[in-house]
Amino acid sequence: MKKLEQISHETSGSLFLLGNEAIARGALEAGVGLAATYPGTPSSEVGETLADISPGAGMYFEYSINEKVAVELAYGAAISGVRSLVFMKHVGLNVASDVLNSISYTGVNAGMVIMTADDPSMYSSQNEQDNRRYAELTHLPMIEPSSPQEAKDYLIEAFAISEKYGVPVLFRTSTRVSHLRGVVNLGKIPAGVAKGKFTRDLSKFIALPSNSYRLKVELIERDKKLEAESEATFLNRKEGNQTSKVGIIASGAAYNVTADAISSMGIEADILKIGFTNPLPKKLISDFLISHSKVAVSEELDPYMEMQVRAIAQMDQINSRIYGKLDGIFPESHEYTIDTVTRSLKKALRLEDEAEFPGLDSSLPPRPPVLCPGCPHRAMYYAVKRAVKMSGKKDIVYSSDIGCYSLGFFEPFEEADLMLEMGASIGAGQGIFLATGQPVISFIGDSTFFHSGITSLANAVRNGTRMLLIVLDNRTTAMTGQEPNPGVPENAQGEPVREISIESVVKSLGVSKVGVVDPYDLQNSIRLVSEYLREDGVSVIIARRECAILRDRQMKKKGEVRVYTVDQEKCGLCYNCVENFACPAISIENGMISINPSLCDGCGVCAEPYVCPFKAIKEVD
Amino acid sequence: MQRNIKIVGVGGQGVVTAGMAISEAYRIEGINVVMSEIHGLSQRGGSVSVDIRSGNVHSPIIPSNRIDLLLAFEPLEAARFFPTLPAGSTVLMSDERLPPVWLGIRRMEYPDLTGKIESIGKKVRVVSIKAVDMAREAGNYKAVNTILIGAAFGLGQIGVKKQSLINALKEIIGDRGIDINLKALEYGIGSVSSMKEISLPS
Repeated sequence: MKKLEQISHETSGSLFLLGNEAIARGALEAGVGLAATYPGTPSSEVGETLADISPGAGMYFEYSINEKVAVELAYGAAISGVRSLVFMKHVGLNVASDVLNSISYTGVNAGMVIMTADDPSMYSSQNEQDNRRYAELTHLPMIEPSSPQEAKDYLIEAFAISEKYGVPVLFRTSTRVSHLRGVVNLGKIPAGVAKGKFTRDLSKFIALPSNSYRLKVELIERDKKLEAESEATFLNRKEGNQTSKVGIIASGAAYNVTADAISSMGIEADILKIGFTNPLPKKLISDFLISHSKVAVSEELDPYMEMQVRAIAQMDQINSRIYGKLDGIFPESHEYTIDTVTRSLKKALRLEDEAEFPGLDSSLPPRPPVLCPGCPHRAMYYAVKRAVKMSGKKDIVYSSDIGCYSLGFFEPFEEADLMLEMGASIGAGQGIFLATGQPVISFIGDSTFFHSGITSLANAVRNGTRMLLIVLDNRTTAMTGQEPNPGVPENAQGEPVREISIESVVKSLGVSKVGVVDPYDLQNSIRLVSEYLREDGVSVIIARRECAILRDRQMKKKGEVRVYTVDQEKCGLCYNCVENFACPAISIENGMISINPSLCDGCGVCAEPYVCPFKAIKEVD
Repeated sequence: MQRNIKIVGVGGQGVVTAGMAISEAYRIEGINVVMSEIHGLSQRGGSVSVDIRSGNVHSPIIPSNRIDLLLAFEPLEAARFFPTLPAGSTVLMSDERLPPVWLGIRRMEYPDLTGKIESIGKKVRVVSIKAVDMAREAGNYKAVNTILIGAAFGLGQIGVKKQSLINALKEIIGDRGIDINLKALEYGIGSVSSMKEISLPS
């Protein structure tokens, strides 16, 4: 694609880039030699971009099996003199938190940056955790950009700071920064990345108690030096009217909405924009509090800065009025918008608030996310539901996991009774069986299986449970943008690599009943699920069929088009297809079942007698 | 000058691509522009929206009551946003109806939006075009996004030169398919004369 070529090669002028693309470009400009990730929205496009541009830059980039391994990989490179970047969504850092808390002690030699993308309002996440807490917890410095331009420029500075203090740097974005498109002025790209060299340092890289005892003291000393850096860095800056008695301390995406709210409200305010959020510049904040009688802290999620600002005011005995979340002025949950910040500032400044603005028309039929036309998960969920109905079992518990198949929660399938985090379907399912004796069907995707399902499955087999595990193997990490996983024979760059067979892994863990089925083959799928539901121990069905989006791309390349239609003469108007199969291409129009040819994917599953008993759906010649 | 464009549609229709092309045209003209989008989960079939803000702005999310143009790939998706439209704004929509699966599950059909359109038409301009038919005529039904961009330009709703849009399309679409898209842009611009003006408040 032209855009990717420009990100790879252009060294002047500007491009219109997504925050995540700007970070990938920043990695080039910073001379990163190794990058790794496990895909997760809203961080995925950093990987999508690097997958394409890394070979030309002499950069090693991989989709690692999970975030913990990705961070370990990057650490290995950084202690060997090679700059490394590792990136993930906010909850990915939970998976990597073990290693994070140790590398904070040992430090690194070359620059290492750990990017984490928070998701206020949870557009694609299970929680709204504030990853600035990890900076506090680990004593790692944290940098936060607000725009794509800053995402690129601050990343380069993050590497400089990492090397100056020998410490990994956390780089926090949020959905509205990672998925904000904006104009980015480009810089120079250094030529090539030199090979590193690991030099033994037993006093540093061995996290034994004797070393860590001493390193903890050094870490506290490092905090002081980093605070001095935070006082001086350009990442923290003042802008706006410095003589105004109103001051606002803001960071990240909250800065953007706050700056726009102020200008649309037409009020004069001084802004202290914080880009270096751990440690905070205490002196800078203290001076800012002294020179403004009213100071609002505008930050999304936790009152992380606010609590420190209030502590600074107390220690320095400053009487300025401080507004934030703790006094109920700003919201404590969900992303900030220009509307919410305007409302909060009006409350703080005792300005009159305008009438409420109306929201969307909620009387219209909703259109929540659905499984795509041709999605193999739809076929499998349909088959499982059929088999369960035939089995007569009434108290089955569906334990689900993280992926596109999470959509199986929605009607008409409703095959998710619980869903937590990556890999939980198996562990939680085991617990439910042990506590209740109720039959459990767990669903997990292929990528999630490798990420954190294998250990749970080993536990389930080893300690014993009764469970049917269905691995929905769509040959990709679909939800985040079709990244390859260990179960497919190609890597991020599309080169052939060793594929790890899910059935071999499952068998080697001691699962005796293992079957593979094509979910498009409804008859066989229903038969297999029915049979395995009668098993006593742990049994596994691998439902294997590639993601419809991947298949579409291949068919498009070959110029193949397959479309189905309804023979109205034969259609018995039983409505089974729309009620229970729920493909977006099929709807009711003027009292008849209709298939939209531009949406139809040509999978043909709706033509199976299990979906259309009248055999009215057929392929268009 | 600030301009706020909201693009709405159904995942898979090319909403994000349309947003990128319009934004790129602003960048080409040296105008500051930011755009928001939401990724992840279902790629096709769910409601999708993109906000574009140009001028002296930082945040891409259009505040309440500030939409200048609602560019809709689908009538139901347009109608959802009717209550948020300020007087004097414009709705340009493709008339292709895509019924959500939510309806079929309830044995329901696509709702009649006439009343809602007439009612909003009292304060905003509402224009509907046969964008999908026009895209097919240009050579590919997927060029519906370029048809809509052309029509929005024809209505004077984007605020850039035509050449900037052409250059933007070349940047975003690339060489493959550019001919069809340039044709679609012309069809879109040309559609203004034959547009179905549903309402034009005086």
